[in-house]
Amino acid sequence: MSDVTTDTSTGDGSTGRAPVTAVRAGTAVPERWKWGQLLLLAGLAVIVMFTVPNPSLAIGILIYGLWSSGLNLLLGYGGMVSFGHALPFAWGGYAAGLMLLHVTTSAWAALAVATVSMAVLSVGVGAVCLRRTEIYFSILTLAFAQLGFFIALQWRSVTGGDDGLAGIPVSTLWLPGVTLRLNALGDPLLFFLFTAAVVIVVLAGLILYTESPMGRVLQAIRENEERARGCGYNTRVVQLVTFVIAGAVAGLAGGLFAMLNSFVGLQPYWLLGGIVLIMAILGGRGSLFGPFLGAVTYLLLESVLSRHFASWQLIVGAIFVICVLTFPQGLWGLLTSTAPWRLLRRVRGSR
Amino acid sequence: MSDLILRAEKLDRSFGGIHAVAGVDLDIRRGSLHAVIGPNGSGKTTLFNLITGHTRPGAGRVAFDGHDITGMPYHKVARRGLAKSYQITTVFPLLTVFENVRIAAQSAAHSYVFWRPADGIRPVTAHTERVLERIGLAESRGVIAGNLSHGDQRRLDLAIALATSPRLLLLDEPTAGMSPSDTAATVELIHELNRDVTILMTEHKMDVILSVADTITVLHQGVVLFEGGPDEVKSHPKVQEVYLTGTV
Ligand SMILES: Nc1ncnc2c1ncn2[C@@H]1O[C@H](COP(=O)(O)OP(=O)(O)OP(=O)(O)O)[C@@H](O)[C@H]1O
Ligand SMILES: [Mg+2]
Repeated sequence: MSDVTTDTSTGDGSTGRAPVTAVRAGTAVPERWKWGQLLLLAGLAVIVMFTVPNPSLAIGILIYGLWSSGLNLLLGYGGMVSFGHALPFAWGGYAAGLMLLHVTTSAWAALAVATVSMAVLSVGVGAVCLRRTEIYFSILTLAFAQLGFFIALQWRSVTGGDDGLAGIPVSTLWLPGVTLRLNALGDPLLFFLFTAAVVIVVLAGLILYTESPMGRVLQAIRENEERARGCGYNTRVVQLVTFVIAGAVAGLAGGLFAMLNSFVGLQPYWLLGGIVLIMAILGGRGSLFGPFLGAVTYLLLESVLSRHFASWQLIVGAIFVICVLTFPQGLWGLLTSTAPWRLLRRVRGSR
Repeated sequence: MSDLILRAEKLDRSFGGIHAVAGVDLDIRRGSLHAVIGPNGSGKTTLFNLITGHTRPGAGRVAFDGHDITGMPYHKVARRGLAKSYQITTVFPLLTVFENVRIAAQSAAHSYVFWRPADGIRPVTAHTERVLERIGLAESRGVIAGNLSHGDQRRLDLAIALATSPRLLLLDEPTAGMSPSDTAATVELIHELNRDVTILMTEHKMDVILSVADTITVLHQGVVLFEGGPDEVKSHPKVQEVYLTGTV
């Protein structure tokens, strides 16, 4: 396994390592880039826009990336593994879909309801799940997602059950001075730009959170909850706030996804809880931008492989396993540890 | 303001059949450097955990600065100004030394702030720098804590406790596993810290205890055997017996 850990300590290489708390093997600390991640995302969006021929796939990359990035707040920053992140995504989809079908065609209203209602629901779900830690927390999140799935299946009058909610109308986007129609089929470029703008703004918010005192406490809790409590922090509150943020972001992503497809249903919304985890881990837990890389990689692999192989999921699974074993810090960790600017800095440093 | 910063009364706790702490009374004077000593398993760590609210007492109560803190959650006790450094080194291993201390330093005023970057809060970073200077870790500020040497990790553990600006500092074997030179430096540091903060500590190294403590409580099988100054403890026959033979 590559020994990236030595790169992260600046100077003073003479000190021997204490065996007990020595940095866990394979979990080096990749650079985080803070606000630079916004530029990377903007760059990625431009590349995707010009190179991915299928507009719905290009927009999907941004939406999945956003969802996965929010999940990484729990996974990478908080050390909390949620198996049930399909729930907020599906909820956001249904909420936005129902709003557009029955109440108003305003995109802002639909997305706001998807986000805020999911945030409120997350307070309750999180309060229950966070009564347990580690694998028990994960199982509880999964249980809630299963519960949601069965409600969506059974409550036909609202969710459409098996058939889902089809024919969601094209939404209207009110901006100062102009009114636009967000038609993913008719005007995919506009839809893409709108999604990219939303995603970049949300990512900025997530970066601010992770760099704020509270976000830093979240990372301290991941490292040692007991010690964080000893510093005077109510660790449950910090974890709950994070759970709510991750839920709200997933709700927003689900709402965007409903608008993109004009459809919400059991498929695929409830089946993606594992895939969004794969995207986050593949992209890298160490940053918020990493999951976007994971989303691009996963979705492009899927779109290419599924055209040629019936059992493409087998290949994606194998690739995932290899990636986790060879670079546990994901694509982000791989890039930041081998990137040219890093080598350049080392050359400069040695002069 | 009372002369006592901490008052523990009739603290009691059993684990299964083991009576780890059996009706202990402990008074800590403001500004003192109070040591609790005793053989392995005599209940020192358990006593500390009862004081911090870490372990719920079976009976008894604890007053900190005149307020009853019995059964209060650990983070609230910490917030009142009672900090603890751990017997088994407890730091945030994947964070830098600076960030380890900064996390503790921000707890006083900026705990749950989420709308501004943490690194831009000048009073917190300045306080962090001061603590690092004082503990002698300023040189290693950029090192990932898990990569520090054992002695430096112990010092970082102490720095985290200190950065919360406590009024009472609990040190559970602060020199455990340290080399003689690191031990000497730490003893000096504890002495120096005691000018600002009351310290309650445990330690196995008798020479360390006798050189720093002004009051010593001897614990044996969960019971207070004796309490007094270093000279009294040194010459007390019962104490010598416990330390030499392990029985009373
Ligand atoms: N959580 C626990 N569960 C069961 N028994 C415990 C627990 N904590 C402590 N004990 C027992 O209580 C007794 C007192 O332990 P404690 O750790 O307080 O001793 P100590 O004086 O700190 O010892 P040392 O000098 O080795 O640190 C021991 O017999 C120990 O085995
Ligand atoms: Mg102990």
